[in-house]
Amino acid sequence: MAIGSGLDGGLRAVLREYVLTLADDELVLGHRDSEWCAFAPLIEEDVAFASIAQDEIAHAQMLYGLLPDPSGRGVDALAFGREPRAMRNAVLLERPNGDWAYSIVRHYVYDIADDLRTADLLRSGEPLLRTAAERMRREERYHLEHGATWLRALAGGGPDALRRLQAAVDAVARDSFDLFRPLAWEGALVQVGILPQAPSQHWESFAAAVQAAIAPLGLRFTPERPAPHGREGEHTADLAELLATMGEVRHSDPQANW
Amino acid sequence: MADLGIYEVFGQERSGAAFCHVGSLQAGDGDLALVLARELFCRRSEFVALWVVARPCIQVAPVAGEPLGPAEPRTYRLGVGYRDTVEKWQRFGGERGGDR
Amino acid sequence: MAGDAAAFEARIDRGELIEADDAMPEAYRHQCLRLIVTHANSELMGALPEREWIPRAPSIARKLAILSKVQDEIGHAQMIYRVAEDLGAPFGLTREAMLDDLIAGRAKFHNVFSYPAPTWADVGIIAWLVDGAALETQGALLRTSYAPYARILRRICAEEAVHLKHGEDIVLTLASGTSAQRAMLQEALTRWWRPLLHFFGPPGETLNSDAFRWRIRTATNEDLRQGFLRKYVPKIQRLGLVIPDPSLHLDGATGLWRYGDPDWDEFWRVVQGGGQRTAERLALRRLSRDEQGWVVAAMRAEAAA
Repeated sequence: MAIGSGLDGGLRAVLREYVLTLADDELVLGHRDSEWCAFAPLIEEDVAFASIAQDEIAHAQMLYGLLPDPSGRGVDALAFGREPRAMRNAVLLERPNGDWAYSIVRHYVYDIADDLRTADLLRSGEPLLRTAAERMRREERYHLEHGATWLRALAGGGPDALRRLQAAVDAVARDSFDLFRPLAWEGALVQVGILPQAPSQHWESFAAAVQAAIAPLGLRFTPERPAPHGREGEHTADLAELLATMGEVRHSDPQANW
Repeated sequence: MADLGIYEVFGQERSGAAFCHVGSLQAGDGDLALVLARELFCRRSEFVALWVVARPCIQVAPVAGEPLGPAEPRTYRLGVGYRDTVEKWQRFGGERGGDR
Repeated sequence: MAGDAAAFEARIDRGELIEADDAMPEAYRHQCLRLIVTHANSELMGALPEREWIPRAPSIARKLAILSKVQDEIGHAQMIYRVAEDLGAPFGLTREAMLDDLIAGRAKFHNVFSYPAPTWADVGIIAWLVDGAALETQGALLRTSYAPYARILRRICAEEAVHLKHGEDIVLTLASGTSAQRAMLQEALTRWWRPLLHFFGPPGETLNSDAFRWRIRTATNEDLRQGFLRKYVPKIQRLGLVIPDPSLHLDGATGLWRYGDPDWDEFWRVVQGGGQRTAERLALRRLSRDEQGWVVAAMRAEAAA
């Protein structure tokens, strides 16, 4: 049973857009996280971060799987088969990994946003979304603990580390509004009870939550506008390259079984 | 500067079981050690609980090759030290060993 | 000292296992360390050809599986470096020093990880046959006399057994696929066959060497290679793949597989650091260490504060 089967065509399309924002965020971030594999700064952390990458990719797999699939081509068609303008992830997640400070800060800030989003999903009128949120919640809590622990460790690690962290926070701040930009179709999801509130309503509390988390470490979060429009399909060359890499083998023969 | 510490990891396989040593890892502090231990040793759900202990907190025996346990036999600490009771029950009739 | 050596050998002969803090001949410590450090380096270097394919895995399921496999290899490296550090504690051996030696080309790792992995089929061949070869070796090492190593090998072998299944799955999918997929698989097998034979090292070792007397190792190179051939040649042939050795055959009289000259000169050349991808992969490790060194420095500073 796919999501939104009781809804009319217009609402099903809106719900699809929304689920794609969730799933694409997770897929793109998971892919970026996986690029650290074998090169993380501590061998133990390499193992831990690879689990986090798998969590995100598996979440994407689960979320894509909620969508109706009339052609029967499965979740891989959604993950591998779209052009950048059809992707709905926030641009924050397609940025290259940069240094460890950027990757940790980017993931942590995203996790704070995701936590707010998941709280809404747990109250969704759509049971499949509630179940999805319940399944993701435990792993996302680990991600928050992991990120917070790393930030504390690095922030206490001397002026050079602190400088790198602040530079990372500034870069992430420039992209953050994309996570909660008001979108034309949000209201429709609230009206029909899929969401208890529009995602964009979280912007203020998100910014406050990030600031509260990092201020004790001597860091400042000053988000900027304008910010990118990833939710509306406006992406960077980085995403095009990411998707091309991801699809390299599969597209050598899309009909083949891999 | 201090080096990264070694933390010994203990895992409990199921509720009520003993915590057993499962390995060790390097980390800056105990918080990170716990975060790392979860994925190093429990990503296949091997345990329901974990301890991480900084290695300097652990004291080890035996020391200098001296074996553990008493130097002389202390059979009164073991059931086998009381085999005689089986025979002593015979004075009172019935089955050997006291059971009817 | 002679009495100590005799006492140690008596322990080995009784089947006792040796712990990190036990009295042991210096030669035992050094032999174990050489084996263990080479293994740790191999797990770390082995991750490099495979992790190149994580971003390009052709489905979400394959992406998760290969990410998990490489994660396991890094996890193995972590466990083995820890064992090495404890064994080398009397002369202050650290993970950092071992990694420096590796990057500088002073330390060894298995030849097999110096070869290119240019196609998706290589991912399947590596996970099935290279891990299969590793499992032969590591399975024999389960009976090693050095206890800390034996303990982690149990977990390592269990995880490698899963990797085999993953590799088998990829190979079976390609073998039952399009003609292009089958051709890619055959081409990968052709390239990997000789490195696989080399994996076990040259034949002709002396069984009364320290490594065998002290039960550090319990099977010869040729024993292990024969074990591998017995298990995998029939399966490879069953898939309709051609092994690039026309003289490969089972000798009915001895039950041993006979194979053509694997070119041991090439083996020794790669051991000396001349593998096709050796320099490039060591350079990647050097870059990673240099670029991310600030993180461990920060952690040390925070721990000291």
